[in-house]
Amino acid sequence: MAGWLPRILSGLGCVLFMALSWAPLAAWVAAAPAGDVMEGIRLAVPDARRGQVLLETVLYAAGSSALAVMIGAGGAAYCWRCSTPLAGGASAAAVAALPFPAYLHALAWLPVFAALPSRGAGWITAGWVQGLALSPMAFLLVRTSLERMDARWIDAARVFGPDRRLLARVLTPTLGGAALAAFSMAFLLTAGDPAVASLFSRNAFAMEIFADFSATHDAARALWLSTPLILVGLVALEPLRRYWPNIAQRPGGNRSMQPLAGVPYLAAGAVLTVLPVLMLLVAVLRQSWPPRAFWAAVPLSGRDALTSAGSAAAAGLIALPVSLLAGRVVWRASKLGWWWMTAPLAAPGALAGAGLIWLWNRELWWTPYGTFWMLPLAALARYLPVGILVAAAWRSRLDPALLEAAAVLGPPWQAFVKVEVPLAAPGAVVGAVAVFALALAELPATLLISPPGSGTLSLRIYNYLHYGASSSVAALSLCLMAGAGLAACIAWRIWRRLA
Amino acid sequence: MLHFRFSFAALILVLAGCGKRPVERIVTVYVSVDQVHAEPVLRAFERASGIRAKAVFDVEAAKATGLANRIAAERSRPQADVFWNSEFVQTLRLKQEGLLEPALPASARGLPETARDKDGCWYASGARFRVLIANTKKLAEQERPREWADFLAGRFRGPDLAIALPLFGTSADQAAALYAAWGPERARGLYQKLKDRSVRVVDGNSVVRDLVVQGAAVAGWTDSDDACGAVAEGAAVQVILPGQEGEGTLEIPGTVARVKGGRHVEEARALMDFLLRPESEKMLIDSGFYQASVRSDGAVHPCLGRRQVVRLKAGLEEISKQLEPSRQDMAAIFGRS
Repeated sequence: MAGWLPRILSGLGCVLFMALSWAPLAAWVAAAPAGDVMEGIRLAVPDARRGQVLLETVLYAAGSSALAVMIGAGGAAYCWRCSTPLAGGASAAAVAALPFPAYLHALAWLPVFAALPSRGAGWITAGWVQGLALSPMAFLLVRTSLERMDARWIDAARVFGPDRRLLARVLTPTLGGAALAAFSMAFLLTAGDPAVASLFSRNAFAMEIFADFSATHDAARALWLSTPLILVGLVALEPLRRYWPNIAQRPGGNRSMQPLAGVPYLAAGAVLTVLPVLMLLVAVLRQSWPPRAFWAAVPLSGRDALTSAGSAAAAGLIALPVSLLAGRVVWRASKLGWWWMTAPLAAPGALAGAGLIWLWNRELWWTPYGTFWMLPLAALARYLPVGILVAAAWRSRLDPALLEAAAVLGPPWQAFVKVEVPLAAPGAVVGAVAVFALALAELPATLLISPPGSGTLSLRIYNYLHYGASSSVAALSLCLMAGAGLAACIAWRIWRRLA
Repeated sequence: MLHFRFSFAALILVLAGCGKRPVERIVTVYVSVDQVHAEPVLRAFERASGIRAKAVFDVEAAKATGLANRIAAERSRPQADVFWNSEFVQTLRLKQEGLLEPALPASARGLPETARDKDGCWYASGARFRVLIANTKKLAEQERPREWADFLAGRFRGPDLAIALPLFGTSADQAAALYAAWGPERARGLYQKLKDRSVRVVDGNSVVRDLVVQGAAVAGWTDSDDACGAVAEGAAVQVILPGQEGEGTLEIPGTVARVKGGRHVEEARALMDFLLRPESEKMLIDSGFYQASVRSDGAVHPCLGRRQVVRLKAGLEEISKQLEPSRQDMAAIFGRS
């Protein structure tokens, strides 16, 4: 495949990735004035209070990610090639709930925790909500990883021992890598987002960065303050780098099999995958009734809903070609290249937002600052690496013999356009949908860069949750859930058709 | 053939989009009045004037401070035309930094002297108060705090009390007001003792309200709109106005100002005029955001439990001058330097 066209296009994809994901972060480095290095170092080293906030944030992110993986892995193991109604329901729930933001889950669980004697506020409740919100992602990642196993291996192993032993000796080691990759991804998404912790009256480290930037608008300070969280994020990227290939292997046979017996916790995982969606539906429908609140809240939010859908769609559409092209590079990238592609995931959302402000709030011939385009730019700065990772994972599932045959029999550019691109497209579509879903829920960067008259639905719901306007929130959540669920189902169908 | 039809339809749509549209009149407003209360007023303005109000709302964690800093950061390319602030200190700060422009909306003519800037850079409309909120199930009548300094009383555990971080919004205003009214030493001492007692410091007044409503805190310092909102929803809380036997409590007037360099001058004037009308102020009092009118003789909303309120003696300018010194002290005390 040594043609010039694929190389130029791959290079273009990487340049676009640099411009979209790295530029806001690089801007911060440029913004840090050299004279304040000592002050910067003082800010970068957490004092006792910030050290405690950092520790609590790490424990919160680790706890909620572990919960998400336990639920997701249990559900995936149960549902894998199994045709029971529970398995079907869990899979459908996971796909539909993938784009639901965590603060929607908070809406469902806030009344439950408020009724408990522990009074509901705290890291544990925030971790529970965040864990449930991320469990669909863990479910889908682990389930994709399980696809590589041939069901005949399991059937063969079942001849010689109980399911319990099969689970311990075959399935768990197989799940382990994917579970760690899912844990890593969930950790990164949690550590950089303070929204849920804030709703449960807990101060996450990312909120410190947001609050400090809001108070000072000082570019350098935010970068220095973010340093500990960025370092934690970079450490968390290592399992993702190491175990992502577990998700990205070619599928094995696809025959169905009987569900594994004697492993009730797997079924519990499936139940818990369905539970958040059911809880949300019940809470939203209960609080939206009577529909007076619905009719009052929805017209006010029409613009916000359009802005959310438009900006997420713009982010997804831009991510589609970039993921397709840059994913080609990541697929073959060295360790360093892999770090380069994924490092923006380690930056907290507030830093990405502040970087975009620093970059674009200036006298230029044209600037996106103050326009709608800041919203997709913020989403891409944070989540484009996710789209590229998904696209790269799909690529590595392709049979290399197909690409080699195309390279031998046709000119390189035709092999690229007529064989490689169609084969890689489903992965890029899924990557773009992942960016769309994450962009729909993006909050920490949006809080800083939201342009006049272009608020998003997530921003409005977050504000309303703080005001305690629960019936309005429920009405808006219903709209968001319907839109996000529909988009996820359409994307799923497109993907199935393409794949 | 099908492709041709689709292409033709798309071409028609594109051409239709290229047609001349009437120029839309817009005004950009940065709003720190809670979105749920401000939006109906802005929609009413749009209906009355035909001008589209493009708003940026604040968020609980940064409040007016975040928006004022955004206006300051945009000074070379101002985006906002109007700053509609739910408090006054950040507005006065922007005036001191030369970021506001004089304006004289018609409806401002009826405002009393105390509710307007002498240079015409800002005008007040509606007012809230800093109050104490106490959980009536957790605290008997005689146990409830009556003064700010009651939070230092031995009958309370520090973690059972809550305040918002006094670096943002009205919490910062309160610190500045106490600096102005009591003198820096006494005010700083109060906050230092609160810190030493491990009083819970959270990221917003609504969070304080929620903690007290849930019983996770027995009492807190918050704004009258948050506290009265909880009472209206039937929560087991009491709103207490501190200082009513002596020094008074802080009144927080909302302010409206024109941002210097804003591009939509006429539209900004129209919006300011609308926001300063008595009808707009009443809309916000009725919706529960304000508890008093700046035009009235001092009468306040019944949720505060009294007809008249003793106000803190310090003037707005005086309080504003104390903002930066108090902010620096608060940052040092609460470890946010």
